[in-house]
Amino acid sequence: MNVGTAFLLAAIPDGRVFGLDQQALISIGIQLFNAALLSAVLSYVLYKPVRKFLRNRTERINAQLGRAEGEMAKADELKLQYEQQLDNVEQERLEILEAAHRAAAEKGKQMLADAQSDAADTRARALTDIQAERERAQEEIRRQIIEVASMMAEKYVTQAMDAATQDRLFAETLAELEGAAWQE
Amino acid sequence: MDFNIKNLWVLDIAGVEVWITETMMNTWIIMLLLTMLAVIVRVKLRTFKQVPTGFQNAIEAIIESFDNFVHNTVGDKFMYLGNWFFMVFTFVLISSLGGLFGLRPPTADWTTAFALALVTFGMIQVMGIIHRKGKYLKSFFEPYVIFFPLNFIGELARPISLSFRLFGNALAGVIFMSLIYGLIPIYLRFALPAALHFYFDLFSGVLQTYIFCVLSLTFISSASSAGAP
Amino acid sequence: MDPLAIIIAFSQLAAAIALLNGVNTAIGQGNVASTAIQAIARQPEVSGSIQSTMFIGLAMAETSGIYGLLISILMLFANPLIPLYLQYAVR
Repeated sequence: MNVGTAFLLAAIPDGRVFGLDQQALISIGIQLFNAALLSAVLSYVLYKPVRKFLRNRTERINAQLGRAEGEMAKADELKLQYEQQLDNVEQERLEILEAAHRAAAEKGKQMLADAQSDAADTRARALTDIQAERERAQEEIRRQIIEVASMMAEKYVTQAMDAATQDRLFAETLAELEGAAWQE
Repeated sequence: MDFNIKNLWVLDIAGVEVWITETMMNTWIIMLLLTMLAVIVRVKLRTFKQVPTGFQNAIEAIIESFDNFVHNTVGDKFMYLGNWFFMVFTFVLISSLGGLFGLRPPTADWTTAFALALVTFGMIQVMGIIHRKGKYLKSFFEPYVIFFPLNFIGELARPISLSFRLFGNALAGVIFMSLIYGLIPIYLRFALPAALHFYFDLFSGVLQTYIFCVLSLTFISSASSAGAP
Repeated sequence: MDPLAIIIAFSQLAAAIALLNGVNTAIGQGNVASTAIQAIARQPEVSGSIQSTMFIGLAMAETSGIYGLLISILMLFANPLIPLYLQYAVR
Protein backbone atom coordinates (compact mmCIF):
# COMPACT_ATOMS: atom_id res chain seq x y z
CA MET A 1 0.00 0.00 0.00
CA ASN A 2 1.30 3.41 -0.82
CA VAL A 3 1.02 5.57 2.25
CA GLY A 4 -0.41 9.08 2.15
CA THR A 5 -2.67 8.69 -0.82
CA ALA A 6 -6.43 8.68 -1.14
CA PHE A 7 -8.32 7.13 -4.02
CA LEU A 8 -11.70 5.73 -4.84
CA LEU A 9 -12.25 2.03 -4.63
CA ALA A 10 -14.32 0.37 -7.28
CA ALA A 11 -16.12 -2.12 -5.02
CA ILE A 12 -18.87 -0.48 -2.98
CA PRO A 13 -20.21 -2.57 -0.09
CA ASP A 14 -23.93 -2.91 0.54
CA GLY A 15 -25.71 -0.41 2.76
CA ARG A 16 -26.74 -1.18 6.30
CA VAL A 17 -28.78 0.31 9.11
CA PHE A 18 -26.62 -0.16 12.14
CA GLY A 19 -23.23 -1.60 12.83
CA LEU A 20 -20.54 -1.45 15.44
CA ASP A 21 -17.19 -1.67 13.74
CA GLN A 22 -14.33 0.42 12.45
CA GLN A 23 -16.55 2.12 9.86
CA ALA A 24 -18.92 3.29 12.60
CA LEU A 25 -16.00 4.87 14.46
CA ILE A 26 -14.78 6.58 11.30
CA SER A 27 -18.30 7.81 10.58
CA ILE A 28 -18.60 9.18 14.12
CA GLY A 29 -15.33 11.03 13.64
CA ILE A 30 -16.44 12.52 10.34
CA GLN A 31 -19.82 13.53 11.75
CA LEU A 32 -18.13 15.12 14.77
CA PHE A 33 -15.96 17.16 12.45
CA ASN A 34 -18.99 18.15 10.38
CA ALA A 35 -20.91 19.16 13.48
CA ALA A 36 -18.02 21.21 14.85
CA LEU A 37 -17.59 22.96 11.50
CA LEU A 38 -21.28 23.71 11.21
CA SER A 39 -21.39 24.91 14.79
CA ALA A 40 -18.48 27.28 14.24
CA VAL A 41 -19.96 28.63 11.02
CA LEU A 42 -23.45 29.07 12.42
CA SER A 43 -22.37 30.66 15.67
CA TYR A 44 -19.98 33.13 14.01
CA VAL A 45 -22.11 33.99 11.02
CA LEU A 46 -25.64 33.77 12.36
CA TYR A 47 -26.07 33.32 16.09
CA LYS A 48 -23.62 35.75 17.61
CA PRO A 49 -24.23 38.75 15.32
CA VAL A 50 -27.98 38.46 15.61
CA ARG A 51 -27.72 38.10 19.38
CA LYS A 52 -25.45 41.11 19.51
CA PHE A 53 -27.89 43.06 17.39
CA LEU A 54 -30.77 42.08 19.63
CA ARG A 55 -28.86 42.91 22.79
CA ASN A 56 -27.74 46.27 21.42
CA ARG A 57 -31.28 47.10 20.56
CA THR A 58 -32.51 46.03 23.97
CA GLU A 59 -29.84 48.19 25.59
CA ARG A 60 -30.72 51.13 23.43
CA ILE A 61 -34.39 50.83 24.27
CA ASN A 62 -33.53 50.45 27.94
CA ALA A 63 -31.37 53.56 27.78
CA GLN A 64 -34.21 55.47 26.16
CA LEU A 65 -36.56 54.23 28.82
CA GLY A 66 -34.11 55.33 31.50
CA ARG A 67 -33.77 58.76 29.95
CA ALA A 68 -37.54 59.16 29.76
CA GLU A 69 -37.81 58.09 33.37
CA GLY A 70 -35.23 60.70 34.41
CA GLU A 71 -37.13 63.41 32.58
CA MET A 72 -40.32 62.25 34.21
CA ALA A 73 -38.68 62.52 37.64
CA LYS A 74 -37.46 66.00 36.80
CA ALA A 75 -40.92 67.09 35.71
CA ASP A 76 -42.38 65.62 38.87
CA GLU A 77 -39.91 67.61 40.95
CA LEU A 78 -40.81 70.79 39.11
CA LYS A 79 -44.47 70.10 39.62
CA LEU A 80 -43.90 69.61 43.34
CA GLN A 81 -42.03 72.88 43.51
CA TYR A 82 -44.83 74.77 41.78
CA GLU A 83 -47.38 73.22 44.03
CA GLN A 84 -45.38 74.32 47.04
CA GLN A 85 -45.21 77.82 45.66
CA LEU A 86 -48.94 77.83 45.13
CA ASP A 87 -49.39 76.73 48.72
CA ASN A 88 -47.14 79.57 49.86
CA VAL A 89 -49.17 82.09 47.91
CA GLU A 90 -52.35 80.93 49.55
CA GLN A 91 -50.80 81.22 52.97
CA GLU A 92 -49.52 84.68 52.23
CA ARG A 93 -52.95 85.75 51.11
CA LEU A 94 -54.44 84.45 54.33
CA GLU A 95 -51.80 86.26 56.36
CA ILE A 96 -52.39 89.56 54.60
CA LEU A 97 -56.12 89.21 55.06
CA GLU A 98 -55.73 88.51 58.72
CA ALA A 99 -53.38 91.42 59.21
CA ALA A 100 -55.85 93.71 57.51
CA HIS A 101 -58.65 92.41 59.66
CA ARG A 102 -56.60 92.96 62.75
CA ALA A 103 -55.62 96.49 61.76
CA ALA A 104 -59.19 97.38 60.94
CA ALA A 105 -60.42 96.06 64.25
CA GLU A 106 -57.75 97.99 66.10
CA LYS A 107 -58.55 101.18 64.31
CA GLY A 108 -62.23 100.78 65.01
CA LYS A 109 -61.50 100.23 68.66
CA GLN A 110 -59.29 103.29 68.71
CA MET A 111 -61.94 105.42 67.08
CA LEU A 112 -64.53 104.14 69.48
CA ALA A 113 -62.29 104.99 72.42
CA ASP A 114 -61.66 108.47 70.98
CA ALA A 115 -65.32 109.10 70.50
CA GLN A 116 -66.07 107.91 74.00
CA SER A 117 -63.44 110.19 75.51
CA ASP A 118 -64.75 113.09 73.39
CA ALA A 119 -68.23 112.46 74.60
CA ALA A 120 -67.03 112.31 78.19
CA ASP A 121 -65.20 115.61 77.74
CA THR A 122 -68.21 117.29 76.25
CA ARG A 123 -70.41 116.01 79.01
CA ALA A 124 -67.98 117.19 81.65
CA ARG A 125 -67.81 120.62 80.05
CA ALA A 126 -71.57 120.80 79.83
CA LEU A 127 -71.83 119.87 83.50
CA THR A 128 -69.34 122.60 84.39
CA ASP A 129 -71.28 125.11 82.30
CA ILE A 130 -74.52 124.18 83.97
CA GLN A 131 -72.94 124.61 87.38
CA ALA A 132 -71.55 127.99 86.45
CA GLU A 133 -74.94 129.06 85.04
CA ARG A 134 -76.70 127.99 88.14
CA GLU A 135 -74.27 129.85 90.34
CA ARG A 136 -74.66 132.88 88.20
CA ALA A 137 -78.49 132.65 88.45
CA GLN A 138 -78.32 132.30 92.24
CA GLU A 139 -76.08 135.30 92.46
CA GLU A 140 -78.46 137.31 90.30
CA ILE A 141 -81.52 136.30 92.25
CA ARG A 142 -79.80 137.19 95.48
CA ARG A 143 -78.86 140.56 94.12
CA GLN A 144 -82.41 141.18 92.92
CA ILE A 145 -83.80 140.14 96.32
CA ILE A 146 -81.33 142.47 97.98
CA GLU A 147 -82.39 145.24 95.59
CA VAL A 148 -86.10 144.64 96.20
CA ALA A 149 -85.55 144.47 99.96
CA SER A 150 -83.53 147.65 99.95
CA MET A 151 -86.19 149.37 97.84
CA MET A 152 -88.92 148.24 100.24
CA ALA A 153 -86.83 149.33 103.18
CA GLU A 154 -86.16 152.70 101.59
CA LYS A 155 -89.90 153.30 101.02
CA TYR A 156 -90.74 152.30 104.59
CA VAL A 157 -87.96 154.36 105.95
CA THR A 158 -88.99 157.46 104.05
CA GLN A 159 -92.57 157.13 105.32
CA ALA A 160 -92.21 156.35 109.00
CA MET A 161 -88.85 156.60 110.43
CA ASP A 162 -86.72 159.16 111.96
CA ALA A 163 -83.07 159.31 111.49
CA ALA A 164 -82.15 157.38 114.60
CA THR A 165 -84.57 154.51 114.00
CA GLN A 166 -83.53 154.45 110.42
CA ASP A 167 -79.98 153.96 111.26
CA ARG A 168 -80.82 151.23 113.78
CA LEU A 169 -83.13 149.40 111.42
CA PHE A 170 -80.71 149.67 108.58
CA ALA A 171 -78.01 148.12 110.62
CA GLU A 172 -80.34 145.35 111.83
CA THR A 173 -81.54 144.41 108.32
CA LEU A 174 -78.12 144.38 106.94
CA ALA A 175 -76.95 142.08 109.67
CA GLU A 176 -79.90 139.80 109.02
CA LEU A 177 -79.26 139.72 105.28
CA GLU A 178 -75.72 138.89 105.81
CA GLY A 179 -76.57 136.10 108.18
CA ALA A 180 -79.22 134.58 105.82
CA ALA A 181 -78.51 131.20 104.34
CA TRP A 182 -79.00 131.75 100.60
CA GLN A 183 -76.49 129.39 99.62
CA GLU A 184 -77.42 125.80 99.58
CA MET B 1 -38.50 -1.41 1.37
CA ASP B 2 -35.19 0.31 1.37
CA PHE B 3 -34.18 1.87 4.62
CA ASN B 4 -30.50 1.02 4.56
CA ILE B 5 -27.82 3.68 4.65
CA LYS B 6 -26.36 3.45 1.18
CA ASN B 7 -22.66 3.77 0.59
CA LEU B 8 -21.91 6.25 -2.15
CA TRP B 9 -18.14 5.96 -2.47
CA VAL B 10 -15.41 4.10 -0.73
CA LEU B 11 -12.22 6.01 -0.13
CA ASP B 12 -8.90 4.48 0.64
CA ILE B 13 -6.96 6.88 2.85
CA ALA B 14 -3.51 5.62 3.80
CA GLY B 15 -4.67 2.04 3.69
CA VAL B 16 -7.79 2.60 5.73
CA GLU B 17 -11.10 2.02 4.00
CA VAL B 18 -13.49 4.95 4.52
CA TRP B 19 -17.09 4.68 3.45
CA ILE B 20 -18.70 7.87 2.29
CA THR B 21 -22.33 7.17 3.17
CA GLU B 22 -25.65 8.72 2.31
CA THR B 23 -25.70 10.18 5.82
CA MET B 24 -22.59 12.22 5.19
CA MET B 25 -23.88 13.41 1.85
CA ASN B 26 -27.16 14.53 3.42
CA THR B 27 -25.25 16.16 6.27
CA TRP B 28 -23.24 18.17 3.79
CA ILE B 29 -26.37 19.17 1.91
CA ILE B 30 -27.94 20.39 5.17
CA MET B 31 -24.73 22.15 6.16
CA LEU B 32 -24.66 23.92 2.81
CA LEU B 33 -28.29 24.93 3.22
CA LEU B 34 -27.78 26.27 6.74
CA THR B 35 -24.58 28.08 5.81
CA MET B 36 -26.29 29.75 2.89
CA LEU B 37 -29.15 30.79 5.13
CA ALA B 38 -26.71 32.11 7.72
CA VAL B 39 -24.81 34.13 5.10
CA ILE B 40 -28.06 35.58 3.77
CA VAL B 41 -29.07 36.60 7.28
CA ARG B 42 -25.61 38.03 7.94
CA VAL B 43 -25.80 40.15 4.80
CA LYS B 44 -29.32 41.26 5.60
CA LEU B 45 -28.37 42.06 9.21
CA ARG B 46 -26.79 45.32 8.04
CA THR B 47 -30.15 46.50 6.80
CA PHE B 48 -32.03 45.33 9.86
CA LYS B 49 -34.26 47.99 11.27
CA GLN B 50 -35.26 49.02 14.75
CA VAL B 51 -38.79 47.77 14.27
CA PRO B 52 -38.67 44.30 12.71
CA THR B 53 -40.80 43.26 9.75
CA GLY B 54 -41.20 40.09 7.72
CA PHE B 55 -37.99 38.11 7.30
CA GLN B 56 -36.21 39.95 10.08
CA ASN B 57 -39.11 39.20 12.39
CA ALA B 58 -38.87 35.46 11.75
CA ILE B 59 -35.10 35.37 12.32
CA GLU B 60 -35.39 37.45 15.48
CA ALA B 61 -38.20 35.27 16.80
CA ILE B 62 -36.15 32.09 16.25
CA ILE B 63 -32.97 33.43 17.83
CA GLU B 64 -34.75 35.12 20.70
CA SER B 65 -36.91 32.13 21.59
CA PHE B 66 -33.85 29.88 21.45
CA ASP B 67 -31.98 32.33 23.67
CA ASN B 68 -34.82 32.33 26.17
CA PHE B 69 -34.95 28.54 26.04
CA VAL B 70 -31.24 28.23 26.88
CA HIS B 71 -31.57 30.90 29.53
CA ASN B 72 -34.49 29.15 31.20
CA THR B 73 -32.76 25.79 31.13
CA VAL B 74 -29.23 26.61 32.28
CA GLY B 75 -29.36 30.21 33.46
CA ASP B 76 -27.11 33.16 32.79
CA LYS B 77 -23.84 31.45 33.65
CA PHE B 78 -23.77 28.99 30.75
CA MET B 79 -25.12 31.14 27.94
CA TYR B 80 -22.04 30.31 25.85
CA LEU B 81 -23.33 26.75 25.52
CA GLY B 82 -25.92 28.27 23.25
CA ASN B 83 -23.37 28.48 20.44
CA TRP B 84 -23.10 24.69 20.19
CA PHE B 85 -26.71 23.90 20.97
CA PHE B 86 -27.99 26.39 18.43
CA MET B 87 -26.24 24.26 15.80
CA VAL B 88 -27.64 21.05 17.32
CA PHE B 89 -31.10 22.53 17.37
CA THR B 90 -31.15 23.80 13.80
CA PHE B 91 -29.30 20.80 12.40
CA VAL B 92 -31.51 18.14 14.00
CA LEU B 93 -34.63 20.12 13.19
CA ILE B 94 -33.73 20.63 9.54
CA SER B 95 -32.62 17.01 9.16
CA SER B 96 -35.95 15.85 10.59
CA LEU B 97 -37.81 18.14 8.23
CA GLY B 98 -35.63 16.87 5.39
CA GLY B 99 -37.65 13.66 5.57
CA LEU B 100 -40.49 15.63 4.00
CA PHE B 101 -38.42 16.06 0.85
CA GLY B 102 -37.29 12.45 0.66
CA LEU B 103 -33.90 13.19 2.18
CA ARG B 104 -32.88 10.42 4.55
CA PRO B 105 -32.39 12.24 7.90
CA PRO B 106 -28.75 12.13 9.03
CA THR B 107 -30.06 11.58 12.56
CA ALA B 108 -31.47 8.24 11.38
CA ASP B 109 -27.86 7.09 11.39
CA TRP B 110 -26.58 6.16 14.82
CA THR B 111 -23.15 7.68 14.11
CA THR B 112 -24.58 11.21 13.76
CA ALA B 113 -26.70 10.92 16.88
CA PHE B 114 -23.80 9.45 18.82
CA ALA B 115 -21.42 12.16 17.63
CA LEU B 116 -23.80 14.79 19.02
CA ALA B 117 -24.35 12.85 22.24
CA LEU B 118 -20.62 12.35 22.63
CA VAL B 119 -20.09 16.10 22.67
CA THR B 120 -22.76 16.38 25.35
CA PHE B 121 -21.01 13.66 27.33
CA GLY B 122 -17.67 15.46 27.01
CA MET B 123 -19.30 18.73 28.07
CA ILE B 124 -20.83 17.08 31.13
CA GLN B 125 -17.46 15.76 32.29
CA VAL B 126 -15.49 18.91 31.48
CA MET B 127 -18.00 21.29 33.00
CA GLY B 128 -18.35 19.10 36.09
CA ILE B 129 -14.61 19.04 36.66
CA ILE B 130 -14.15 22.75 35.92
CA HIS B 131 -16.99 24.00 38.09
CA ARG B 132 -17.02 21.48 40.93
CA LYS B 133 -13.47 20.07 40.81
CA GLY B 134 -13.00 17.29 43.37
CA LYS B 135 -16.61 17.26 44.42
CA TYR B 136 -17.65 16.13 40.96
CA LEU B 137 -15.25 13.16 40.99
CA LYS B 138 -16.33 12.38 44.52
CA SER B 139 -19.95 12.22 43.43
CA PHE B 140 -19.13 8.96 41.62
CA PHE B 141 -18.43 7.31 44.98
CA GLU B 142 -21.65 8.36 46.61
CA PRO B 143 -23.38 7.31 48.73
CA TYR B 144 -20.79 4.55 49.32
CA VAL B 145 -17.58 3.56 47.61
CA ILE B 146 -19.05 0.28 46.38
CA PHE B 147 -21.54 2.22 44.29
CA PHE B 148 -18.77 3.33 41.96
CA PRO B 149 -19.42 0.73 39.19
CA LEU B 150 -23.13 1.55 39.22
CA ASN B 151 -22.51 5.30 38.99
CA PHE B 152 -19.85 4.80 36.34
CA ILE B 153 -22.11 2.66 34.13
CA GLY B 154 -24.95 5.11 34.69
CA GLU B 155 -22.68 7.89 33.49
CA LEU B 156 -21.64 5.90 30.42
CA ALA B 157 -25.28 5.08 29.68
CA ARG B 158 -26.11 8.75 29.29
CA PRO B 159 -24.70 9.37 25.80
CA ILE B 160 -25.98 5.94 24.70
CA SER B 161 -29.54 6.57 25.81
CA LEU B 162 -29.37 10.13 24.50
CA SER B 163 -28.17 9.02 21.07
CA PHE B 164 -30.48 6.02 20.83
CA ARG B 165 -33.46 8.16 21.74
CA LEU B 166 -32.81 10.43 18.78
CA PHE B 167 -31.70 7.64 16.47
CA GLY B 168 -34.55 5.31 17.42
CA ASN B 169 -37.21 7.91 16.76
CA ALA B 170 -35.73 9.01 13.46
CA LEU B 171 -35.11 5.41 12.33
CA ALA B 172 -38.65 4.42 13.33
CA GLY B 173 -39.92 7.20 11.10
CA VAL B 174 -37.72 6.12 8.20
CA ILE B 175 -38.62 2.41 8.50
CA PHE B 176 -42.31 3.13 8.91
CA MET B 177 -42.43 5.48 5.96
CA SER B 178 -40.52 3.13 3.68
CA LEU B 179 -42.79 0.25 4.71
CA ILE B 180 -45.87 2.34 3.97
CA TYR B 181 -44.48 3.45 0.62
CA GLY B 182 -43.71 -0.21 -0.18
CA LEU B 183 -47.17 -1.38 0.84
CA ILE B 184 -49.59 1.04 -0.76
CA PRO B 185 -50.23 1.14 -4.50
CA ILE B 186 -48.61 3.89 -6.47
CA TYR B 187 -51.80 5.91 -7.13
CA LEU B 188 -52.39 6.33 -3.37
CA ARG B 189 -48.96 7.73 -2.65
CA PHE B 190 -50.02 11.35 -2.95
CA ALA B 191 -52.48 11.88 -0.12
CA LEU B 192 -52.22 9.09 2.42
CA PRO B 193 -48.59 9.41 3.57
CA ALA B 194 -49.03 13.11 4.25
CA ALA B 195 -50.56 12.48 7.69
CA LEU B 196 -47.80 10.03 8.58
CA HIS B 197 -45.16 12.46 7.34
CA PHE B 198 -46.76 15.05 9.54
CA TYR B 199 -46.43 12.83 12.59
CA PHE B 200 -43.04 11.19 11.98
CA ASP B 201 -41.17 14.08 10.43
CA LEU B 202 -42.75 17.22 11.83
CA PHE B 203 -44.14 16.35 15.25
CA SER B 204 -41.68 13.67 16.31
CA GLY B 205 -38.76 15.55 14.79
CA VAL B 206 -39.51 18.80 16.60
CA LEU B 207 -40.21 16.97 19.87
CA GLN B 208 -37.02 14.91 19.71
CA THR B 209 -34.98 17.99 18.87
CA TYR B 210 -36.41 19.77 21.87
CA ILE B 211 -35.87 16.78 24.15
CA PHE B 212 -32.29 16.27 23.00
CA CYS B 213 -31.41 19.89 23.72
CA VAL B 214 -33.29 20.04 27.03
CA LEU B 215 -31.78 16.82 28.33
CA SER B 216 -28.25 17.78 27.30
CA LEU B 217 -28.51 21.21 28.87
CA THR B 218 -30.09 19.80 32.03
CA PHE B 219 -27.37 17.18 32.39
CA ILE B 220 -24.65 19.78 31.89
CA SER B 221 -26.10 22.34 34.25
CA SER B 222 -26.79 19.77 36.95
CA ALA B 223 -23.29 18.29 36.64
CA SER B 224 -21.69 21.72 36.96
CA SER B 225 -23.77 22.77 39.96
CA ALA B 226 -24.53 20.92 43.15
CA GLY B 227 -27.23 18.26 43.42
CA ALA B 228 -26.56 16.11 40.35
CA PRO B 229 -29.39 13.67 39.58
CA MET C 1 -32.13 -27.61 9.71
CA ASP C 2 -29.73 -24.86 8.83
CA PRO C 3 -28.19 -23.53 12.06
CA LEU C 4 -27.87 -20.04 10.57
CA ALA C 5 -31.59 -19.94 9.90
CA ILE C 6 -32.30 -20.98 13.49
CA ILE C 7 -29.98 -18.26 14.79
CA ILE C 8 -31.65 -15.62 12.62
CA ALA C 9 -35.13 -16.78 13.59
CA PHE C 10 -34.37 -16.65 17.27
CA SER C 11 -32.73 -13.27 16.84
CA GLN C 12 -35.95 -11.97 15.34
CA LEU C 13 -37.90 -13.44 18.24
CA ALA C 14 -35.47 -11.86 20.71
CA ALA C 15 -35.92 -8.50 19.00
CA ALA C 16 -39.70 -8.81 19.30
CA ILE C 17 -39.48 -9.77 22.97
CA ALA C 18 -37.09 -6.90 23.66
CA LEU C 19 -39.58 -4.51 22.14
CA LEU C 20 -42.26 -5.79 24.52
CA ASN C 21 -40.93 -3.51 27.26
CA GLY C 22 -42.51 -0.74 25.23
CA VAL C 23 -45.71 -1.75 27.06
CA ASN C 24 -44.31 -0.72 30.42
CA THR C 25 -42.75 2.38 28.94
CA ALA C 26 -46.07 3.39 27.45
CA ILE C 27 -47.83 2.88 30.79
CA GLY C 28 -45.20 4.95 32.57
CA GLN C 29 -45.35 7.73 30.02
CA GLY C 30 -49.12 7.73 30.23
CA ASN C 31 -48.87 8.14 33.98
CA VAL C 32 -46.45 11.03 33.59
CA ALA C 33 -48.64 12.78 31.04
CA SER C 34 -51.88 12.28 32.99
CA THR C 35 -50.31 13.57 36.20
CA ALA C 36 -48.95 16.56 34.34
CA ILE C 37 -52.37 17.28 32.87
CA GLN C 38 -53.90 17.08 36.34
CA ALA C 39 -51.29 19.49 37.64
CA ILE C 40 -51.94 21.88 34.78
CA ALA C 41 -55.69 21.67 35.38
CA ARG C 42 -55.11 22.52 39.01
CA GLN C 43 -52.63 25.32 38.41
CA PRO C 44 -52.94 26.61 34.85
CA GLU C 45 -50.71 29.60 35.59
CA VAL C 46 -47.55 27.46 35.85
CA SER C 47 -48.37 25.29 32.83
CA GLY C 48 -45.13 26.33 31.10
CA SER C 49 -42.79 24.95 33.73
CA ILE C 50 -44.98 21.87 34.23
CA GLN C 51 -44.82 21.18 30.51
CA SER C 52 -41.05 21.39 30.31
CA THR C 53 -40.69 19.21 33.40
CA MET C 54 -43.16 16.78 31.86
CA PHE C 55 -41.06 16.52 28.70
CA ILE C 56 -37.95 15.78 30.73
CA GLY C 57 -39.89 13.19 32.72
CA LEU C 58 -41.22 11.62 29.54
CA ALA C 59 -37.72 11.42 28.12
CA MET C 60 -36.43 9.82 31.34
CA ALA C 61 -39.28 7.32 31.37
CA GLU C 62 -38.53 6.55 27.74
CA THR C 63 -35.01 5.38 28.63
CA SER C 64 -35.95 1.79 29.38
CA GLY C 65 -37.88 1.62 26.13
CA ILE C 66 -34.80 2.98 24.38
CA TYR C 67 -32.69 0.17 25.81
CA GLY C 68 -35.19 -2.37 24.49
CA LEU C 69 -35.00 -0.69 21.11
CA LEU C 70 -31.20 -0.80 21.29
CA ILE C 71 -31.24 -4.55 21.91
CA SER C 72 -33.73 -5.21 19.15
CA ILE C 73 -31.76 -3.10 16.69
CA LEU C 74 -28.61 -5.01 17.66
CA MET C 75 -30.46 -8.30 17.10
CA LEU C 76 -31.83 -7.25 13.74
CA PHE C 77 -29.02 -5.30 12.13
CA ALA C 78 -25.79 -5.95 14.01
CA ASN C 79 -26.29 -9.44 15.38
CA PRO C 80 -23.05 -10.49 17.08
CA LEU C 81 -24.05 -14.18 16.95
CA ILE C 82 -23.86 -14.51 13.18
CA PRO C 83 -20.15 -13.64 12.84
CA LEU C 84 -19.52 -15.94 15.79
CA TYR C 85 -21.35 -18.78 14.05
CA LEU C 86 -19.62 -18.11 10.72
CA GLN C 87 -16.24 -18.16 12.43
CA TYR C 88 -17.20 -21.43 14.12
CA ALA C 89 -18.56 -22.98 10.91
CA VAL C 90 -15.49 -22.11 8.85
CA ARG C 91 -13.26 -23.72 11.41
